[in-house]
Amino acid sequence: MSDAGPDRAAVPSAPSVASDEELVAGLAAGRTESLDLLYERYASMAFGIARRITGDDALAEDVVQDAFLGAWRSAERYVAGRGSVKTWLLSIVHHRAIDAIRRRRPVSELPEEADGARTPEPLTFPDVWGEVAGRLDAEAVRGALDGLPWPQREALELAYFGGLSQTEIAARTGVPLGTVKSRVRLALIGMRRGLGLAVSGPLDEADTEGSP
Amino acid sequence: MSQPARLTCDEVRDLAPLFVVGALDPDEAAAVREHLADCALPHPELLELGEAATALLATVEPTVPAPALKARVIAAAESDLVSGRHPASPAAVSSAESAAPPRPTSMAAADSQVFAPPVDLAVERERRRSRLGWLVAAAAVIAVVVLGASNLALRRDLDQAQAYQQGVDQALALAAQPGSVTALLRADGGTATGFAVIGADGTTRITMRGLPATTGSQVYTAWAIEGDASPVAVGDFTVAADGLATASGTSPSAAPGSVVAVTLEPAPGATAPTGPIVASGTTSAPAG
Repeated sequence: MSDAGPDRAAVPSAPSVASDEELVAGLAAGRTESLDLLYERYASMAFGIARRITGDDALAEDVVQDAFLGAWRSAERYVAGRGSVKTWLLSIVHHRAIDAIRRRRPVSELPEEADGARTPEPLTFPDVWGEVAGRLDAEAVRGALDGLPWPQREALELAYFGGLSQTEIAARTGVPLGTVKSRVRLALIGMRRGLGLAVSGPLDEADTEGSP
Repeated sequence: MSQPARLTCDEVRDLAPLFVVGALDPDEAAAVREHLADCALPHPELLELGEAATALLATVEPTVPAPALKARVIAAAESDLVSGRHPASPAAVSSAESAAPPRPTSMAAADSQVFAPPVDLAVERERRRSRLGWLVAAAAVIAVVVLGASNLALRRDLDQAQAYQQGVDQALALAAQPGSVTALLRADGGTATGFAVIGADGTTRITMRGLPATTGSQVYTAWAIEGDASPVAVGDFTVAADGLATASGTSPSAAPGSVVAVTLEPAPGATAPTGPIVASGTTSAPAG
């Protein structure tokens, strides 16, 4: 440890000790250094998610840029009690990525709309769902996902990573809308159970595949 | 615009799984949000299901994006500060304060509150038209602000901001060209930030913010440093009280990994740096 002498005092302390919440406060105050650090922390996860959803590196880069800029501009609206910074940020990435692939789809596949009169579902808002998701271990989540019956997992992934609507999932998998709905519900409940998370009473009712 | 039907709590519970995975049709999703915004009762099922859906993000393998993406993100953020698109930027403070949505006042309100769109969708659509499309949006914001300016001093500030914005635009246009490299410029302990772009032919554009104003014959000089070679002067520039600067010049090459540094010099035309380094950064490889 010969280099641990007084010279060390000249080295600026590592900026990475700032908490995620402090970085978001920095974003709200307009500090690009904070954005720089937040990017360093989460760009790889963000890009992985965007790539998984879009299947296109260039589009995924645009999504990541959009998402970080969205976070930059709306950081003052981040509400700490609603979820971790990580969940908040990655939820924005997810929404932007889904938004991007929906916009890219051929017009014939989109619901009818007058040009510019109404956009497809504006997924640019992040609904943030608590901080539990941000702390979960990737292996545990993969295990829970692997534990789902295939039709449930398929419906869940087509919706969440494929950006398909219930109608599109029904058409793709050849089952009625009601079945899609119950498969997604059972898949999400199954994920919670697989992760050892509580499932409250109302969700537990009518735990069947639904009417055909 | 059709008015979405009012939903009951039971209907919201029924739609919750499809809502949290984003699979509802737009009208239904809007109706759910409307219900949540008004409903006095808690909807814990949304949180539970939403958590399970969000957990899926943990299954995705992280992938390191191209280094140049960070420069694009930071440059766009810098541009926001000047154009007034960031709430903390001077041009935005007055309008943002009146337009900001009320914050939730209790946990119950926070639980049922749905986040507002972080970005204006009309502007967002414009931005999506090209990879550098956000510049169009930023320019539009400046144009609107300039039209509304009644005060001459403000007008002058905006002219300066606009000149800076043009410099940023040019730098970003250069960054988008094949073979260009970018360096984020940072100060050790200072407030100056910015970025440098070197084109394949050595054309260099630098934009900086937060620099102390130059006085007398003082100039800031940008240097390109490759490996152990001596610094090569890229160009000089002065800075007014607003701390903004854009400059252009020529670098010896556009090699990734070279250092761009900015020093404060007593007079223009220095051939070797004598003053303190106010900001520096290392060029990263281009995207793709």
